[in-house]
Amino acid sequence: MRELPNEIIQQILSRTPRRDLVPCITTSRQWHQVAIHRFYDRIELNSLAQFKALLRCLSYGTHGSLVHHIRFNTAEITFTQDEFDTLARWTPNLLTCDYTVQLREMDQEKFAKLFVHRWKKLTLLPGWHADKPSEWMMALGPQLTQITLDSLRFHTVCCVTLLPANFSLGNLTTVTIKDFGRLPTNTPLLEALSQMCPNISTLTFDIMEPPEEDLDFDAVQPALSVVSLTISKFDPQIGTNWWFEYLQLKYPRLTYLSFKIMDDYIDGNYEDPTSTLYTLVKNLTDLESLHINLQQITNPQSDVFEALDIESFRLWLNTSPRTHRISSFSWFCPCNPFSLTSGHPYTMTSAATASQLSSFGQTLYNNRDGWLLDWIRSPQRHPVPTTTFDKLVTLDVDGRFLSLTYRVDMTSIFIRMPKLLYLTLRNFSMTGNEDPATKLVMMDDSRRCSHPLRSLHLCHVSASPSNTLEPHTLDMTAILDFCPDLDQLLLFNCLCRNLIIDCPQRAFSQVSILSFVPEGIQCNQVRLILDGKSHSPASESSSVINCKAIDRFDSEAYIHLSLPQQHYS
Amino acid sequence: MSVRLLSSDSEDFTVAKEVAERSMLIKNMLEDVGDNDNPIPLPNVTAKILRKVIEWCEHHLGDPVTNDENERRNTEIDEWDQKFMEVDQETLFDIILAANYLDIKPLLDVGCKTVANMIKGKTAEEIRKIFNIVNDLTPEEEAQIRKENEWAEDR
Repeated sequence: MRELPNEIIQQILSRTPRRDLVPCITTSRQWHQVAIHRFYDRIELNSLAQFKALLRCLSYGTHGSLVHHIRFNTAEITFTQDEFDTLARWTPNLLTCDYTVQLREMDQEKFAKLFVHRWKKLTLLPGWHADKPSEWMMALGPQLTQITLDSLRFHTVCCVTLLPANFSLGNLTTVTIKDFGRLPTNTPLLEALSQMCPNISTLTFDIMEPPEEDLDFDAVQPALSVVSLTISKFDPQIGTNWWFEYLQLKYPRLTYLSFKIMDDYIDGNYEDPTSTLYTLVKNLTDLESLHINLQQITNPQSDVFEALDIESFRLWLNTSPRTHRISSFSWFCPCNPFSLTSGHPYTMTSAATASQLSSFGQTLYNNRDGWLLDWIRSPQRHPVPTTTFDKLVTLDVDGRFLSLTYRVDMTSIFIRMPKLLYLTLRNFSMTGNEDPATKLVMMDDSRRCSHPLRSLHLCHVSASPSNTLEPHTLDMTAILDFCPDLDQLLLFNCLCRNLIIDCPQRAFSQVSILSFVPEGIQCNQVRLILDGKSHSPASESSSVINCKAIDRFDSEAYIHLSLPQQHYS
Repeated sequence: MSVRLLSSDSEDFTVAKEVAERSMLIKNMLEDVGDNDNPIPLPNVTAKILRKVIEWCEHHLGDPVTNDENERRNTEIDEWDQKFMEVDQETLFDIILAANYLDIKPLLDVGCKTVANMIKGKTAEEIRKIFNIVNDLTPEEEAQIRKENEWAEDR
């Protein structure tokens, strides 16, 4: 019987109780790789002996960086300064540490400094403080530059304790508020934060409930230090109108705005909104970077689009001459809200708009976004459009809705986007053996002999020749030869028969090959040849990466796709 | 309205549209291609497994869809699903792989939970036997792993 892919093992282990994970670690190499992350993510300690054993094991230095949460389940455990130091040194990525541990032989003040210094990422401070968040905030708050806390705790600390005491957290620049549903982030907390923390520049929170009813919009003081705002979850059911108005008044200096809408549905009595995405961005005159994630919206007639007023938004985005300063824009949406309206040759971004961007990401639609798709396809359509994208540094496009016969043409991308450094292609097909250098010679355009691309990320890309859908060999060698600076290569769920990277003189900073093996398909391991052994190992029947060095090679090197003929005959 | 699905071994299935749309993959495909009569090819799913998957989708047609990962993870497997998953192991894995490919999250959940239950209380050797895993760790590596993690066995 074949092996299960790592992705599935991961899914299984995430549903396995912790105590059953111990044997999984020694089952096989593959299981070890997958289980070890989950195993160390959260550590619970039940005795002093176990704590001492953990300190010993951590000092081997292998797994401590995987630890994110520690919980002490017994009062039997106490720390000395040395023990604490060992624990803190080997767990640099710790996020939470629960339970009130007794401190022996320790100078409290020295100790407080020590853990703030060692546990830089700590978001929930250890039990001896978390029991009384207001106390540790008083003691350590002024030192911290970054805080991540749940909204309930934050609310308690800020609104109940610190604000009435006129307390200031002057060093704080980055604040992330997580909602766990107990007390969602709301305007009183945001108001308190902006009063106490005059230097916050980067703010992240969720919007899961309507603004306070008695909020006086006229009294909202703008938080002028905030330039970056991420709404990690935006529930449109609560009504977006008031929130858009509040955000506009509160954070007028934003240069970066990113949000993710969580739902299709908006309350029925919601009509003719006065504040929308459009009115918000129109008034944010400093805005340079705007990222809208609508991946959860699958209904093109969803009310959400009305609440955002995307018609006006699109007009604003694409109007010529430009009335905004957007240089980085993304719009990911698995349905096309403009599918019923005609007259636009693009879904969200026009060619002229995209040609002004340095970073662009979008879901592309076959019959709409021809301005870009026709450019990056093979064979080319005629006449070829004339816009150039010579400002583009980052491109992330999702071609999920393209017909299966569409092939992306890397050479065209290299020609039209000469400054591109970071390229992500999702859900495309490519021929698998493209050779840009030869192609350019044939096109009589041999002036270009290389491209500066640094990072290539192929996600759900299948390699097959243009006349068939059958997965074929994905040979990246010629493309890599054409991009001498490309040192980061990520292949995620790509479909191909074999993978070949034959660049014995190349060194990569990262190569990741993560795949899912469909049913009935043989796995074959990718053979990795390092140190630039000169003979060419490329062959049609096996998968090979031949290069000089890789700083970080992703652990799921096992997985590779090789489809039996009968599936496509 | 109905939809035609074509298994990897070329068997043609006709199912109600709302049943097929439990699969996000198929749902997206249908939105893309619109209404037409051509069967949707599913090159990664055999007829045997597709039949099981359709059976599951039909039974769970009325289920509310929850996007809450934790909620889904923490609910117990119901009786019908337990019965449904009483298949040989090869089939169980195939169902999981198909659910993953077709993007039917609740079915993937049920499958993975079923397998997770099989792991409970087993030793490494027993897990290897159940899943037919070849132990490719050398004795030295195994000893090293034990040493690095011995705090966990020390209860």
